[in-house]
Amino acid sequence: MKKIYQILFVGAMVLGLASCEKEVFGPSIFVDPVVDTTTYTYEFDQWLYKHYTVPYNVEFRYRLDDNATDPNYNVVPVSMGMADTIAHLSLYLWYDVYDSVAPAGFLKENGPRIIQLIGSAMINASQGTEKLGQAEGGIKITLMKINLMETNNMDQLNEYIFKTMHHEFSHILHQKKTLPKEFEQLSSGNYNPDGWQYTSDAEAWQLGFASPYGSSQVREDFVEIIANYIVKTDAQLNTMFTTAEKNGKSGRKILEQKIEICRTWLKEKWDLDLDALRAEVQTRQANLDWDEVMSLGFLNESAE
Amino acid sequence: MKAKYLLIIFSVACVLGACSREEENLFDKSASERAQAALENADNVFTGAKNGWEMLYFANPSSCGYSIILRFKKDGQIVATAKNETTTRNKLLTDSASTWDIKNDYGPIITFDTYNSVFHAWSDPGNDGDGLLGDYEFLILHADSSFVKLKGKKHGAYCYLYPLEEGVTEAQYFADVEAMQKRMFGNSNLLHLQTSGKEYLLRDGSSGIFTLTDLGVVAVGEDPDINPFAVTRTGIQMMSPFLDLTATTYTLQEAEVVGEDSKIAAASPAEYINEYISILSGSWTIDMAEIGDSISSVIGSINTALKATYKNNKKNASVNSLVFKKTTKGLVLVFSYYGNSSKATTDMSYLFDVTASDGAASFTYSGPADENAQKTVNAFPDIEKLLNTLSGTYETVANEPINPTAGIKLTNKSNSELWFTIQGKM
Repeated sequence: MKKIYQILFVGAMVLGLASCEKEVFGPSIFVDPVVDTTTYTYEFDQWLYKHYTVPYNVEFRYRLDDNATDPNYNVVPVSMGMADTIAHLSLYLWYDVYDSVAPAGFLKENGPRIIQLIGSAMINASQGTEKLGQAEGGIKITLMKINLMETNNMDQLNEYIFKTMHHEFSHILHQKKTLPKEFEQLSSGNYNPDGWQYTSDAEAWQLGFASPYGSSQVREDFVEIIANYIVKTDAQLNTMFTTAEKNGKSGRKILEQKIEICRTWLKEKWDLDLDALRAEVQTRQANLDWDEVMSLGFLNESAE
Repeated sequence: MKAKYLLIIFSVACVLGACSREEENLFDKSASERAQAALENADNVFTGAKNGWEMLYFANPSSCGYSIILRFKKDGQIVATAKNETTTRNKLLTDSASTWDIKNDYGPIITFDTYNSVFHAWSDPGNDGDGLLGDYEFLILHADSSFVKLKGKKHGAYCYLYPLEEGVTEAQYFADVEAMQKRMFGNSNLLHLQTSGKEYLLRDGSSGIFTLTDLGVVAVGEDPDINPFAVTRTGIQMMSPFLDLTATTYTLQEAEVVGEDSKIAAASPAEYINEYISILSGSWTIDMAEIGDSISSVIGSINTALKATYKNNKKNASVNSLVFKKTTKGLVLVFSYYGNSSKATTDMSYLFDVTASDGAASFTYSGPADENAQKTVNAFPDIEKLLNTLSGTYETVANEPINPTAGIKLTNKSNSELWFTIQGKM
């Protein structure tokens, strides 16, 4: 009988020890792809693995799984051609920008784990709104309306993609480290979660919001300040500021205060220089060279 | 001691319980093995059709059906071709730069997971968030080398795939479908569904969605039964069976479209003439090139009289057309002719009655519809001769029995030389 207890005890110990074994993590949460060189998307998938998954620990998803979308909306996948273009462009205007400005490994540690492209917008016809993107749990950024992008229209690309990426990534950052309290107090009485879509740009600016959507609630206000500040050209920022102070409105003062709070928060919490980030984006936007952007294209892999 | 026995009994019970016979396996493979096998089977089926598949696509349960040719490549590429008014503006369009996949999600699913401008035209939400409410992911309900049945994952419409015959090109396929569409549904053709117990009226076939009602005119406020279908090269494919029937595939065989438990056909030509007028307010035009000598000679006399009267338009004064149609005064024959003007016609209406009996159609002239029509008859007495000549009982033969609007030849029962042909128009 004693022997039986001894065997049970040893067995329990073995099981217990086995369950306590520390898991060893690899360099990426994503497993190495099964390499099937015969698939139609092989070259593109390899390119994405090499330029996104390995350096940034992110899965760049262009093939759409309906389970990954909000069932309340009708959407379609992105085209292969636009997926290729946006993959290259976001590498040039987003990932590479952070790489050159932020501390080493910043995006690999804090960036989204998944970027999902969707071809169409998510339209709420009854409210007259459409979603341009969304961030989920600090892990996933979904970019929409990609099929409708005009690649020669930087304002549109910013509005629908890059501003959205900065917007959603800022959500990820403030989900990890809380919003500064003083920011929350600046426009506390002016948020309009149900009627923001009826607000014009000028009205929003004059209230101290970077966009109508920024006036919906404080966390959207915060990320819209950062995103708009980064992607707007000097001329566009100037228009925003001058409109915001027209007729004695206090919008400019509030906007500048908010930008300063964001600037300080990013520096103190993330060691990220907002102005350096903006300068790098503006330089790249102004000197966009499509040959350079697409030179790593999967259709032209030998150029690497 | 008693406790000792109880312990023994309990132990034996436990041992016996542990030794109880295991449940018999219903399947010879595990669930995951069966799921994997289903995926592999589906993959092999889709890629197995040498000339691709004809997909009869229903965007949603309220949508008419569309034809798409799909060629599934082993490497995950999909080539889609379509030609229709709604999504391609009647141009033959092909897009080959996208992907498909089979995956497991409560059963095998086929997904078209990168954008194909041909295929996703129905699922694109457009500017209103809905678009045509189509699907791009489908449950695979059935898949073998001769037939695949899918169900849209979000909107729930059934779709059907059949292997495209080898040698048939995309252009030929869509030309054949268009010819079938015109043959069966040209001129808003009216059809009947014939079941073993009852016959129903099928309207609106030209829209790709049958409206099924009892025979006769639909009462105001009646909620009709809607039945979407797609036109194929050989007939039609219903999205779901009519009523409580089982047939979804109907094949055109001469005069009728035949399914496994029902048929679709037009009414007999004699009955069809009235049905087309009374239900659809359609008109019947006498084909001037397809009339017997008896009628031709009367029309010739009228033309002579018109030319004599309208001397300033001698060249063109003539009978333009003869059309039976429903008006507020009842059924009339509209006698249209060129008088003074070579561009504008003058139309006069003459009351008729049309009845069907024993496969024959009877036309009865009852007089001018108004004063002007009377004056015209007075001026040109041969018009009344024509109207009286047309009056009579006729044997009827449809040139295209599935669609009598293409032409019905009427031959007078008592005078075979007296005949004419009418064509239906909306």
